[in-house]
Amino acid sequence: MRMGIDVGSTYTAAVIISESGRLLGQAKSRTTADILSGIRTVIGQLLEENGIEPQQVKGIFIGTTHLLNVLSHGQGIADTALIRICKPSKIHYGLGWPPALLEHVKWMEQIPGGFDFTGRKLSGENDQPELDRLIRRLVESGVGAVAIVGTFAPLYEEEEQRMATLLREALPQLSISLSHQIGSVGFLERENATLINAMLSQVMRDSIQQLSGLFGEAQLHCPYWFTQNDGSILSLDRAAAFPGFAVASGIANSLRGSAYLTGIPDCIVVDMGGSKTEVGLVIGGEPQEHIKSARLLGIRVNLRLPKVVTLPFGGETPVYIRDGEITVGHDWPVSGSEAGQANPEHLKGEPLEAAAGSLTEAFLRRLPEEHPLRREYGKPLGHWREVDAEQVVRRTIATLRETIEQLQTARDKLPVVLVGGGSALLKEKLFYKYGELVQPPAFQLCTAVGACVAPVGVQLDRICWLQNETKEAALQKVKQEAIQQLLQDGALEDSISFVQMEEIPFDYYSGEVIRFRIRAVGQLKL
Amino acid sequence: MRKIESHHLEDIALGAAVLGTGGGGDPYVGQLMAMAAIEKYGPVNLISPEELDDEAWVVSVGMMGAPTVVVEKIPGGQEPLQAFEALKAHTGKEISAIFPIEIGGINSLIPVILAATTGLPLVDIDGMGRAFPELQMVTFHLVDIPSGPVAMADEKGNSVIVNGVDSVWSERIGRQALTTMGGSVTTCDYLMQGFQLKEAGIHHTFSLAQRIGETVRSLKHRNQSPVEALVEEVAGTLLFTGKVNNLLRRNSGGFTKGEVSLSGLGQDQGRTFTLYFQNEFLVAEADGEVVATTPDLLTVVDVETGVPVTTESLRYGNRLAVIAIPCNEKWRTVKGIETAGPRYFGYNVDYIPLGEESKERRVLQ
Repeated sequence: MRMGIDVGSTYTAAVIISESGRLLGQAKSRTTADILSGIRTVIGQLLEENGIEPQQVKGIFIGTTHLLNVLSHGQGIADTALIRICKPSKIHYGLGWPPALLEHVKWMEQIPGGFDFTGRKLSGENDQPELDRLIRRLVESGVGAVAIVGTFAPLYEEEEQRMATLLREALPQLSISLSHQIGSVGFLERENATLINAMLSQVMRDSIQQLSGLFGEAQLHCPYWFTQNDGSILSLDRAAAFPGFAVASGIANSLRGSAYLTGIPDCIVVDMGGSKTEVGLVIGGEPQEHIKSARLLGIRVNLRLPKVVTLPFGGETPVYIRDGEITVGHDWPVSGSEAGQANPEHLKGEPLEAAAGSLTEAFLRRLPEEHPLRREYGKPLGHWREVDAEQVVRRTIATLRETIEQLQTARDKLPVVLVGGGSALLKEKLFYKYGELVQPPAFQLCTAVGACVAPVGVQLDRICWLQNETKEAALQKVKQEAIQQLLQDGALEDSISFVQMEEIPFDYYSGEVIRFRIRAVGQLKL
Repeated sequence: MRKIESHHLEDIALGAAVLGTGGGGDPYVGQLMAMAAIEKYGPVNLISPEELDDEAWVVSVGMMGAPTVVVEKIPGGQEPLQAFEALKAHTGKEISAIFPIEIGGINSLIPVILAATTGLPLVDIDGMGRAFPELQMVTFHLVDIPSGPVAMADEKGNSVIVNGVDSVWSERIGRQALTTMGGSVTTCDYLMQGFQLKEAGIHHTFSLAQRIGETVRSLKHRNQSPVEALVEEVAGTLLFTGKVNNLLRRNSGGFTKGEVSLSGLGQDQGRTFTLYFQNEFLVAEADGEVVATTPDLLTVVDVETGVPVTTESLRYGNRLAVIAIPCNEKWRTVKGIETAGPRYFGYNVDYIPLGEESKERRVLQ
């Protein structure tokens, strides 16, 4: 059996799935501030209530929005330095970043170097005093992580590697993120992605250590994995080195889980949790990515992220009524934004007056008293006026419809799948004029299920000089690299398939350079 | 005259990407540099062509090079000024305004940087009304205004002056220098006088880009599909809505040539559509029949958001809408079609002006 764990902003959920894909057990508990005790609770419940022995579990799969929350709230972010290896530029780093997050980038140095397009080095070796000074600065400023970004590093990685080796020798504790391992061409987007990766390195390292301890205590001695932004698994080694690849794993799992639970490969997914609602698109069972450069918290990054609209309200978002003026959460935007931009900010800096109740309570107030959902709720609903509740419901539904419309390919009529704990009440209200509206039986556990069924995946973005080899030979090499990585990560050889293969020639250079973008998946051998 | 401030730049970049018709380079780097320049030097004065003195000397500034290189080779930031100073020193002319050579893509924003840095006004005009890949594909070329002397500057601090006998030669020689200088450079060229610019340029396209950007960005607040609103704003035609089912790219003579096939969605269900592109989308074919070609604009946007898609970022499975926009009348002349029509790009088809084609089709139906 497999265990899937989802640590959401409000709830932590876990499921057990049999090898044949049957849901054998489930547990849910509030996400705790320390993350870990919430996980401990759900695992305990799950094993105990279903009479499962820990040794029956062959693998554990974890998806979480925790990393994204770390970025939004700032707790646990490593103080980070940026080293550019390039011709010194006047372009600032961190353009378009949220100021609070940018504060964690402590300083930037531009070390002369880098390559031009043809691989010609832009300056000679750096002299030792210069490097010594850099190391001294790293020590004195007390940063925990460093991001190293060189021009054309995706083609020529030597300088980034050499710098990393030097720093590693001098400062073994420093977390080092190298841009060529994180993103492809596009200097500023790659720099952003590398910085975010570096900032999350300590949180990830600590999490892995703590989780290993926790699973050990629970006698769960099987291997475990994180899941990544495309909803495939991420080994612990890679998770430790590339936490940036796991920032959007929560929603990616939810999207994959929705398609899996409903058996509908092409759908729009509405995942309403406790504090936010995410709306995304699944095609062929795979979470859809951004076509162009993606944004994370408003920052352009060349990470491959699922295309999701995040709305800043969920089932537990408080509703305030002041002089007949209704405010849901902190504010009420007309429409959503890219992945992760909306976050439960309203839970901090709470307004002084008490909330009339939660969004869920407003929905329940509109149901007859004898309705099973209302009886199930078990708590008093607060003092709602019928008209206020009605208005809250109407506005919520209108915003959701508008968001679905945005993702709905105008005339395609994709079915809408409702998942997440907060979505229980939506089914009654979200009459959907274009297509089917489906809520799978295990809708509250969709994300944990999605983690459980995650494939082994690999995405390679390689640029090859075609001086001494043919295009076919170069492509074959990249494909081999993908297969090797999948096998190394535990994929069944027969199950490997290439889901995406692209070649992008470079303009103005005749047939000498080519960029391959490849994505392959395989089933995990357990 | 009005001020262009930092918060206008996102709309301009978005609009410029629509008018970039799949090419023109990602305006993002340009947007960031322009933002930094405005923050440092203050807002830019945008003047209407009518406000420009006939005798005044004006010059364009832009970037040249492979889009992939432009986004990777982080600009030093001083290149526009360096190219400008080189040209000024070479010609000895007192230059009093800046204009964009093309309104599509990154080159719509590079002039903002130079205008901010020098304090000179920016003229609301350009030489393409869209994006094209070669230096002579501008309306100035149609009335024999030469591009040269061309000043080129790179991030290393090198600069070059190219004195081609005509624009085609300047382009040829410039390309060689470009490769040596690392694959992307900033150029300052098309030095001319106010009366020439007014006569030969395409007016008010900078403002057009800004309006298009506003339209796409504000769609969320309106009860209209992004694609519909965009079509309305640009007075274009929605040619097709479909999903990418085949994508071919090959490199030929230093340019990417490719074609992308779409299978129809919704109203276009059962139909097929093919777009041929080099840097830009150039020829559109519906069910095997040519329906639109360069120099008319073929712009491709994401069905869901209305955000333009570049030829580089096309992927299998993308859901796209193809919109055709009539080009400026200046391109619809014999020389215009010779310079930037489908045959120049190696497609064996004749140019069918957008409006006329649809009239013919209506008669046939």
